[in-house]
Amino acid sequence: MSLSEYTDQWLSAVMPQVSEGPGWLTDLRQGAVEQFATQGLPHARLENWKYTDVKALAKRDFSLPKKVDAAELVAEKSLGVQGLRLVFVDGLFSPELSDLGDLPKGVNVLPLADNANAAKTVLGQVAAANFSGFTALNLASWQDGVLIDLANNAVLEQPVYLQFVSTAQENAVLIQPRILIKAGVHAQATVIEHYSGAEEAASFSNVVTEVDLADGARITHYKLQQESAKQYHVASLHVQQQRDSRFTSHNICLGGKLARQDIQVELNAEGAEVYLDGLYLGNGRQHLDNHTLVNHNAPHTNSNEDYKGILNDRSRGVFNGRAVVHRNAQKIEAHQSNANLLLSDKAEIDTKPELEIYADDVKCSHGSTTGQLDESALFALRSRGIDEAMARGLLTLAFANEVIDRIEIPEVHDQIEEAVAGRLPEKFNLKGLV
Amino acid sequence: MAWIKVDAAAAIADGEYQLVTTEDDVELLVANVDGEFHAIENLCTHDNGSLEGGCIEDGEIVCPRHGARFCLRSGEVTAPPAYEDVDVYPVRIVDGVVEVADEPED
Repeated sequence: MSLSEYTDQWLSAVMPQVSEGPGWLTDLRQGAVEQFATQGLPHARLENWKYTDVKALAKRDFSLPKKVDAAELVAEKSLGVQGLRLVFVDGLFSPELSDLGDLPKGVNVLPLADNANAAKTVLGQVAAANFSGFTALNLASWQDGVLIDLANNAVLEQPVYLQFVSTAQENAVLIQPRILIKAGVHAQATVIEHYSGAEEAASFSNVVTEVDLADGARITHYKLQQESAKQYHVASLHVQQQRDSRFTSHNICLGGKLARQDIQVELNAEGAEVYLDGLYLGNGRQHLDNHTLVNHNAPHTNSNEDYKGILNDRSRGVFNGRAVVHRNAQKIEAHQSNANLLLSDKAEIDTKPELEIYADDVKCSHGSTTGQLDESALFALRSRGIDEAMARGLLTLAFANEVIDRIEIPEVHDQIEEAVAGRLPEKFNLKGLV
Repeated sequence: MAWIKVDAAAAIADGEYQLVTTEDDVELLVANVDGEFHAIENLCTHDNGSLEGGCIEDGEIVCPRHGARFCLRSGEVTAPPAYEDVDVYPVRIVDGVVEVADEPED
């Protein structure tokens, strides 16, 4: 089957959604359909997709999700975060399982399917439809999602917890959420995107998140991906920042058969800064890919990136971190680091930190390491009476903890630490000790 | 370990191959070499591309892009620009049908 046939097959699957909603939205969706028809799904000949082959994904059939009752699964998978909670079952908003609480003045949190008109000025403004075929597909046929709209000076003290749960269905479903965050001048909020699923769930999540930060706005974004070993997950996070704004991203990637996360940040005015933290942990034959791009479009902007990977069995990791410093962006700082720990001979990482600098007065650094556990550290622990398996586990967890310890929400920190410990190779499983 | 049906043994002529995908999304190339069937991962370790379109010479598949060669029996790389071996998968014939395992040989 040719790529165009795959594209046609996918387009016909999502077509029922394209004509839904108000006129401006159907026009937008129709434009994205044309974009997707032209672009198709990405292939290995594109540099950005060189190490991630979606050919097998493209061959699979997916149907559209239907409303199902999954209260038990939702409760089981919940992180138990205090605050606002929006639950999406197979990508569809579930009001009975959600808690929107009392919102402070100037804050709007709206499920998207029923409030599309409120998103008219936001939808598609930060994420270009042509970013990839998947982005176009999402714009053409997103099913639900959320709009978090913060007025000037609005401060949301409690985090917004977006819980996405996939159920096991006879036919695998295509889940396409759209998440929109618009922060006014000096507005502040924390948003948690959490993806998990039933063990037998085999769905495909195609997620697009758009974040727009006005002057002085502060957004902390958590992306926790713990989907089942049969699920596919492709997501892109697009961020646009104005003067003195700060965006912090914690991207934890543990689940999925094939998971790809793109992050694109535009630092558009002086004083804008971004922190990108990431951790990926692969087992079995998992394929985990993280691509980040930071564009320094203005002087005096800062970016800091720290990604860590742990790969076991035959899993494969891909990291590509790119920072572009444009001609007028003097006095910027861009720092990037990617460290990888390979726990097996068959595990593999393809890592590529990239700096592209067109200005001449900048501070930039980048680096990448790949290796095994330090034998002298192992010896030091063993000489203190700790057996080898435990020593290996402790050192591996300590490596991951350099990222996990920057998670500021205690419930999220503890559960992610436990999840990471629980996914370490069985011979040095630390579950229950942390 | 599960077995995946490929095709009737008679349908894969000597020097030819067919592709099959496992439940883990690994694409395998199942080839007939002098009447014996062998399966390797359909992956050139040089550029991560497919070996499909390559011809079989002396029990080796030749990558159609840059000419790297892999032994179909052992998965061993025998010519640059690739330097890493590929995985080999067990093959059996049941009632005249070629079947391939969904897990590689250790």
